[in-house]
Amino acid sequence: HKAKQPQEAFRKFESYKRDTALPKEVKDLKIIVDQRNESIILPVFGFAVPFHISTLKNVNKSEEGEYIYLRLNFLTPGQASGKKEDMVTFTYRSTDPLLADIYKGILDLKKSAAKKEAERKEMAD
Amino acid sequence: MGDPKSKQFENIYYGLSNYPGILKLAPSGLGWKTADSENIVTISADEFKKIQWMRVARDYQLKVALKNGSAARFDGFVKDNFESLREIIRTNYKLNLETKELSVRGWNWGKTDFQVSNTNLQNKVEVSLEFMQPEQLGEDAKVRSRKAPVHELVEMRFYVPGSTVLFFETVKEK
Repeated sequence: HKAKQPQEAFRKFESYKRDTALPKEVKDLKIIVDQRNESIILPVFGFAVPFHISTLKNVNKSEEGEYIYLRLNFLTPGQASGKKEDMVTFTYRSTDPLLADIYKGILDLKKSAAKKEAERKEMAD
Repeated sequence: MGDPKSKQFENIYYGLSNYPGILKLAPSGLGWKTADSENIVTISADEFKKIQWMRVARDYQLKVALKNGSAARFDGFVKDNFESLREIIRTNYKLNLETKELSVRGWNWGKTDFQVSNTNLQNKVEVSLEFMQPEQLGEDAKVRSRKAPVHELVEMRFYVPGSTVLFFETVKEK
């Protein structure tokens, strides 16, 4: 999956300027919701991979036995030709009850980001 | 340039292990072990091909690429370790410690380095990758249960209109 030219819509977002700005908690290899930087940081093979909230399409939670599952769907910058957008889905599972709070945190962040974006558009008009 | 010598680094994780150990960089190669000596890893310097430094979740990683195509990853270094690591790697192994920059902008990703337990071509536009859980990677179940529950990535699914088959073949070859 080669890196493609990002669409204009993605250009204006920046989760972090440099790797030293990542929150300390990424050490725990858990999903982090960073309200201040409007980002979700996923632990992927030991890396801390930030996703700006604007790239999140949706998230859902399910429970199976002792596990909570979180499924996160992200839009990836598709080809500039205006083709259908690419998508990537990450599925996490854990017995950590905090995963339910993380789910709520993601929904809240998504909501406030959508509100901000709507306000920004209104201002621009 | 000084003479080859040994240097130790504490609180270093091997791969995705959730227990730290001591990494020793000796002229003959590297050794990593946990305090109880139950987990030991040794790699001869003859096997080293390339050594890289990069930011990971647990601070910084020393990635030792081996001639057999695999790589040993050691996490938990602090930023200030870079200079002494570079020095010891140059002296002991005559290798240059390369810095690998990773994006933290929030929308750019493209890493393709992982252990996959299963991959499926879901349909013409979707590929799924299922990942091995730490148990399958040989981690002691008892050690795991003592620790706080982890957030395990169990699957990644790519919806890639138009290029799925090529992507699928590429992953299969890995």
